[in-house]
Amino acid sequence: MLIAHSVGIIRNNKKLVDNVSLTLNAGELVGLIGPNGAGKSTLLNAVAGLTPCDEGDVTLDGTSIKRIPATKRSRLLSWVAQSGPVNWPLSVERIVTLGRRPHMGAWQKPGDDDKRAIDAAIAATDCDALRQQDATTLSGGERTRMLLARALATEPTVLLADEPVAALDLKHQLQTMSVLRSFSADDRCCLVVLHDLSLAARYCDRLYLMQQGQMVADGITADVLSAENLRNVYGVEAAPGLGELPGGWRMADD
Amino acid sequence: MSNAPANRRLPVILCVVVALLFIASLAIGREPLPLFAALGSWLRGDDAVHGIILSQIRIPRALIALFAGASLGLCGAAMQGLLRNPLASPGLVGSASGAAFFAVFVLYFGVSNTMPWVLPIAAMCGAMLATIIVYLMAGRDASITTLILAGVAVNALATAGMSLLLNLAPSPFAVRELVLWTLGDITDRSMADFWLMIPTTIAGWLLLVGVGGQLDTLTLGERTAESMGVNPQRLRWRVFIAVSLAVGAAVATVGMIGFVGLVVPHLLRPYVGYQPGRLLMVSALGGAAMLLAADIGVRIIPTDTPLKVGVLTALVGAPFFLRLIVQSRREYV
Repeated sequence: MLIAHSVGIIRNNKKLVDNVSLTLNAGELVGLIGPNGAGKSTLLNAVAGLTPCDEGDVTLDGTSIKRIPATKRSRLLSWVAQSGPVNWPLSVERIVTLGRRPHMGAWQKPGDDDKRAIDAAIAATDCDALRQQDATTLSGGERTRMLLARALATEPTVLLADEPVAALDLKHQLQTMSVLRSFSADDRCCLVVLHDLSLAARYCDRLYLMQQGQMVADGITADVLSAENLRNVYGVEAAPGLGELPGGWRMADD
Repeated sequence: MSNAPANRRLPVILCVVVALLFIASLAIGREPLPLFAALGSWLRGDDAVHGIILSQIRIPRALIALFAGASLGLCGAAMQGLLRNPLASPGLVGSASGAAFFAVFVLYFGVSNTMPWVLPIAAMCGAMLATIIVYLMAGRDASITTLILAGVAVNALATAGMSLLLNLAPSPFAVRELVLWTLGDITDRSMADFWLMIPTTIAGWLLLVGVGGQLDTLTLGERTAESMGVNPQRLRWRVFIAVSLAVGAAVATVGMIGFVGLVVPHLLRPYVGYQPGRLLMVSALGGAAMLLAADIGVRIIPTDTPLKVGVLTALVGAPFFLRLIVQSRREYV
């Protein structure tokens, strides 16, 4: 169980995240939503242990995230950057293999367990056809899927994904969300930053809504995506029954 | 991984090439050596001229070329991996010229005549200082342009310092001494020079043992690498210190030899699947091969005044560098 206790993050005298708490229980897929600049990514970085908290703390199963040794943390927790860079033209397969690094010694070659995890991650993200392709030549969406595959290959307990569907086409949006959905079972959980509210409504167990560094609403999807919240936070009038829109998309049964 | 067999063979091939070049380096010279006879004479300890040439001239020369070349290749690969930039070689980012300036400084004041160990240490400090300056100006995710500009600035500063020393040099003889040294040269070195460069060279290499996996992870950016258990801060300093130790030692012994650290990793990168970690060892072997070959080249090429090995590597490397820039312009602009 991952808990953020009244986290505050200050940069240049500005509170990017102000007294925010959240809980991630085993088996849950939790969405973090809010308009641009709400502090979602900053909060996600803090939860990942990449940005130190100026106030409050983040704990994983009761241990403060900054007390967990980096290697152990990297096995338990995967973080997927929002459009992360790929600096060398490695093959997609080699990039995904990097996801096994936390489990391997400096000189170790990927073993059977590693290969199985890599294959599963590549299959789940529909990257099979890209396996031998140069990772720097991928389109934005393909790259996002590959980076998600890298994170899944680690087989973490906690997956933290920053807008993993932003650059994806419709089919792969739905596919990625169902990958996150099926990942979030047993003792595993996932926190995902989303902009697409209908995807959030459809796939997430619970939602947290942020605005200007503060948590303005949390709870089950229907409560968070109330017409009142959408009006106050996003400044939009919502169609009723969001998430079960008549024209909502569904993946073709191919 | 379709090219796996080729990858496994590459280090072996390079080892063989290095070994052959090493033997050739012992045999080839103004006085061609019958190797076995010379070796026998050396081992017997008689005063035959061939034995003396082998032990006093050829062996130190070949060993220094081997170790300095390996250092330059290895450090080039490590720097490029760290800065995630194919142009980030010790020469271009100023480590080598920083080392050279500090070394010339020590030579100029004659400190190294009485305390020879000051030279490699000074060169090391110079390399470190230059590397840190470039990093502060163009670190993190700097563009190629920024990095090259920072390198140009630091190189200019070091060159200005050396010019000042040349300008103030008391005699034409001293000027010639300093200039020759900045050209990069492996002639007239003794085993004492070799033993002097070894401690810091080996220390630098040892520091780079095991960084391969971390450099691989860095391909995905510092943040992601950090989330995968790498401490980017610690890795950066580790590579900087290692490069300063090894390049400092190499420059202190052979002077400025450019482009080995740039050309070698770039040529070998495709054969290791562009993986920065796996590039380290093969670049060390490739660097050793290139410097041994260049040092044989200056002995074979007939010129009235002997060519300096640094001149030869620059003549080969600079056009290569231009091609690399043209290529990266096409890729990144």
